[in-house]
Order: sequence, then C-alpha cells, then structure tokens
Amino acid sequence: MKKVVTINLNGQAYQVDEDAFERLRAYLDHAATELRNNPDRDEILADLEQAIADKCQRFLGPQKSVVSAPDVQQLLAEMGPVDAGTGEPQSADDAGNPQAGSEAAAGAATPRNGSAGASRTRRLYRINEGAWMGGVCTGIAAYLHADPTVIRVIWGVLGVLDLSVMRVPVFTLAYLVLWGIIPEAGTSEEHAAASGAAFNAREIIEEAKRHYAASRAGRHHTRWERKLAFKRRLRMRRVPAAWGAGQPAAFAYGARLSAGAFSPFLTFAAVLMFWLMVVAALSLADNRTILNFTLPPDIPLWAGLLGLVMVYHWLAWPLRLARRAGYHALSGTQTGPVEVFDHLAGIAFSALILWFAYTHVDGVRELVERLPDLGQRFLEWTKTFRR
Amino acid sequence: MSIADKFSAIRKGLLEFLILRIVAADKVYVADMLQKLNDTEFATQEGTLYPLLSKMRRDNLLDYEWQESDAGPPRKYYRLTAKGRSQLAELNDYWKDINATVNELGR
Repeated sequence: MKKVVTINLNGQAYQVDEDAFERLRAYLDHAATELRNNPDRDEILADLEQAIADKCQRFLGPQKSVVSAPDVQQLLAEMGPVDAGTGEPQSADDAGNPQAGSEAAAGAATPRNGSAGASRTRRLYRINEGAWMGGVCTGIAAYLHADPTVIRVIWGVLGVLDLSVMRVPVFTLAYLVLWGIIPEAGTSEEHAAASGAAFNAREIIEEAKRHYAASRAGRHHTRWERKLAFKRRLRMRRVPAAWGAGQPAAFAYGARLSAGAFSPFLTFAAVLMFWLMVVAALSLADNRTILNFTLPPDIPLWAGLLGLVMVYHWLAWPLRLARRAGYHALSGTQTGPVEVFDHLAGIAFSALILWFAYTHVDGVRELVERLPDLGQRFLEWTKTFRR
Repeated sequence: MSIADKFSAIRKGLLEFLILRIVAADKVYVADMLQKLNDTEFATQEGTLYPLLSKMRRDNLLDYEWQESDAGPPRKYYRLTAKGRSQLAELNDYWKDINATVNELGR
C-alpha cells in the first residue's frame, strides 16, 4: 500500500503512487537538464508531459485509478531518454535516472529485427560486366572464383575440339543453352551471390574500397570499365539518374531459372496450337468437318468458325499468360530482348511445324492443295453481298 | 557489433529526412509519425522525436497548428512549409545519387 500523489500533466490531473512519482520526477528533471540550452525547452517539456499523460491513460481503467511504478517504468522505456540532438549517446552519469543509463544506446533507433548474420548464398548467374558475349563464362568464373579468361580459353578449345571429334558442336550449343537459361545478375545482391560473397555492410565496403581505389587510380582497360566511368561523369553533371541500378530483384532465382528453361516449350506449344486451329478452321470451311466431328446442318458455317476461334482463345490464354510471366521473370533489369528472341523462336517453330505437317501429314497436304478451290468458293460467297 | 548497430549512425542521420517525407505525404500528428516509423527499422521514441521536431520547426522546415479533438486535449498537427518542401526535393535527389553510387561501387 503506497501513498498516492496527484500530479499535473500538461493541465490534467493524474494519480500516481509515490514510487512512480519519483521516477517521473527524475525523468523530467533529466529532460530539463538536457534541454537547458534549447529555446523550445518549455514547449518540448509540455509535449513530453502530454505524451506521458496519453500513455498513463492506457494503464488506467474502471478498476484502476492509480498509475503504479511498473507502469511508469514501462512507459518511460517507450519514451526513451530525451536526446537534445547533439548526436552523442546518453551517458549513465545521472544517478537520478536509472532508466536513461541503462538505455545508453547511441541514437534514436531501437532496431527490432537485427539482420540475421551474413547469409552466404552462392548461385550461378550470368555477369555482363566485362563479358564478351552473353556473360556465361564470366558468371561461371565468378562462381568458381576463377579468372574469366581461363574459362573462356577452356570453353573455346573444347568448342573447337568437340566439333572435330564428336561432329556435334556440343559446347557451342551448351553455351547458347546456358545463355538462355541462366539469369543475369541484375542487382548488387545478385552480384554478391554470384561469387558467394556475403552480402553485408562490411563486405560491400571492402569490395567498394578495392574497386574504387583501382578504378580511380588506374586506367580503364575493359570496355565495361570505360562505360562505367563515362556513366559516372554523366551523373556528376546532375543529370537525374534512372532508378535501374537500385531496384531489388523482382523474381527469385529459382523462378527465373525455370522460366528460362520452360519458355521454349511454352512457345512451341502456343505456336502448335495456333496452327492446329488454322488447319481446323480450313477443314471446317471446306467440308464442315474437323476430323470426325461434323457441324450439324442447322448451324451456319460462320457460327462454327466463331466457336472454334473462341475455343482456341480459351485454351491459348493460359499459355499466353505463362509466356508473358516468363518474359517478366527473365527480363530483370533490361526491358525487351527476351520477348524479341521468343517471338523469333516462335517464327522458327512455325516454319518447322508447317514443313513437317506438309511433308508428313496426309490430310494437311490435301487441304493445302484444295486451298485455291477454297479461295474461289470464298470469293463467290462474298459476291453474294455485293448487290 | 551487429549489423543494426553499425548502421545506427546512418539511421539517426536519416531521421530528419524521413520525417520530411512523412509530413510531405500528409499532415500528421506526432503519434502518427511514431506509428509509421514504428513498423520500420527507424522506430523512434518520443524523447528523440520531440526535440528533433522543434529543431526542424525553428529551421522553418515544419509548422504545426493546434487541432481540437473531442477525446482529450488539443494536439499538434504538423505540415511542411515551402522551405521544407524545397529542402525535401534536394534531399531526395541527393539520396538517389548516393544510393546509385553505393549500388554501383559494389560491382
């Protein structure tokens, strides 16, 4: 059972027990000392009192009309010691304010989630800085902590050898496949992962020191370094820089890898489906049948064609979405080349499918041979509209 | 020292910039500012915020008006001044530059 003191917090009366009163007194005295040279001292103290009053309100209720010492201890811990803005950590000299002493942390922030220790991830990326073609060799070199030139020499030799020994350019094809599948390291975090370096503040600073000293002091040898130096000079002229360098990677590594691996298949499926639809439409127009399905006589031809096209769209739409998602996943920091390559691949697949169908599928060849006839009938049908 | 401690000086330095950004978005009460910062790594306390706000007000970056509220005493409602807005624009540009430099140096 403690004595109760009634205090005035910014114009409102609050009841606190005597221990709580002592702690509040100490806190506000310490604050007054910290702010003694501050022209807004009185106003800040009033704000602090108001904040304390608001917090006290939380502890009071119908069953509790007195703020106790533990309550005050908690609310003063939330408030934090008054930092007059000098930027120095609060010292523990004040005997009268034990809370401030124990919270002698430098600065304002109480970080809640201290970052987990250096998590080293190591993945294979393509690295375009200092790369000759697609950055495959540079990426592999970074992963293995080797020199890119060594990797290039090995790859080049193997690429020539396998053509003469095995008749199939295995290594050249492998390079192209890897170029398509392995994602490019866009952000700094990915660069760190590409060589298995820890991505934390100290690592970044060490790396920056190494690179900065080298690039500032020496001449710029590779094309990439010259490009970088040129970009830096541009920016020094206060041209607003694009955000490209700073954004976090939008897609996880696994997603990008699978996007790269699956996209040719998706494109092939989409193209195949399109040509199947065309053949079906021609067949329908020719004799109102698709394989064994005959259009009932009371449904006009145009309705049948429309239905076919609608069915095609319903089936093709998920494929189209998947391909588009693949473009986004693969593009990373660049904007367009993935889509262009994919469309070119689509054209190549079309040619392949058409040639294959014409030479190996009987029904198709007949259909193609009947095309002029179909065209004739179509022209006559349109004539019925030109009266 | 953990990573958070190493960056504590940077967080403290950025606090004024962040407050300018928060007030620029919308007029705010002090409690709202604390709320917004609370969810981030820049969680701050009244003991630090009040002196900083009054310093910014003396520098004519912020201004406040008293807003009556039915539940309780009137509260300070902070907004950005013209000088505050222009300084925020400069800080935004500077921040973009630093950010780009840091990202680039890592390669």
